[in-house]
Amino acid sequence: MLDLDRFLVRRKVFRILGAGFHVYDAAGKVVGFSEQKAFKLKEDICVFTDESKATELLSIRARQIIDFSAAYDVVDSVEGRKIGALRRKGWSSILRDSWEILDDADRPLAHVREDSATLAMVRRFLTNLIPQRYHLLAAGERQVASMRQHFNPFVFKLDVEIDPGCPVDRRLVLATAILLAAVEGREQ
Amino acid sequence: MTRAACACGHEFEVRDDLAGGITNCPRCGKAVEVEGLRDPAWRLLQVVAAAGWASATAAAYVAWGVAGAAAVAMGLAAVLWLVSRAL
Repeated sequence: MLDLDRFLVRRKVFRILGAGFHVYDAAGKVVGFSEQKAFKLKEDICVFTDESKATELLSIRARQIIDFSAAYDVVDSVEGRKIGALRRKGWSSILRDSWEILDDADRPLAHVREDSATLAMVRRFLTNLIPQRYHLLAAGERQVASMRQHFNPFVFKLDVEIDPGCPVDRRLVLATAILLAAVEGREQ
Repeated sequence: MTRAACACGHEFEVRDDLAGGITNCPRCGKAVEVEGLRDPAWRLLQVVAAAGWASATAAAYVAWGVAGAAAVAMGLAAVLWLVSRAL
């Protein structure tokens, strides 16, 4: 799953506590499963190889309980080391979702931005039926990956495409997609 | 600066904004949880829990005396400990 150039994150529909996400490859095969734990004051999301949850790949955990510019640490559960962090830009995200991807020492690697300021305003103030799109931009505003929500008011699906030369660790891109599905997708 | 302690025995200082988060141990490279004492919401919860525990114990003392207060104090302390472990 961690070497895919294209995958789909789909929110599990029938789930009462917490949230679950399946990760599909381009052929439609389930290659991963993610679970957002319920009853946790701090966001805690785990990514597994499948729904049996036998092998944990990544752990995404919020630093603070309430944080306007929330930061989430991403840990490779297999290696047992932090690979980076994702930080939501609180003020910017009011009008347009904006995230920073940081390395393991919190240095900026890339950022993720909602596609257009105008559409972002329409989504916030008129209708949230317009699917969201995100661009992952590396140094020099070069787009290295994109995330596109499907038009489906009932099931949140996020299509992720990563450029072959993307300098950002694929595990961080996967974590970003799952976090966007969990945090921004929840707003819908 | 906030202190962090790794399972390998190494203790080191990290930036305050990492409090409550995770960093890598500079010695063994493994992920280490940094104490979240700077989290204002967590501190508020601790204060509310302590105040609730004290007022419930005081109310139990007035209603049932020392034995009742001790039972309520210990019972609530156990519940709070369990909740803090779950968070």
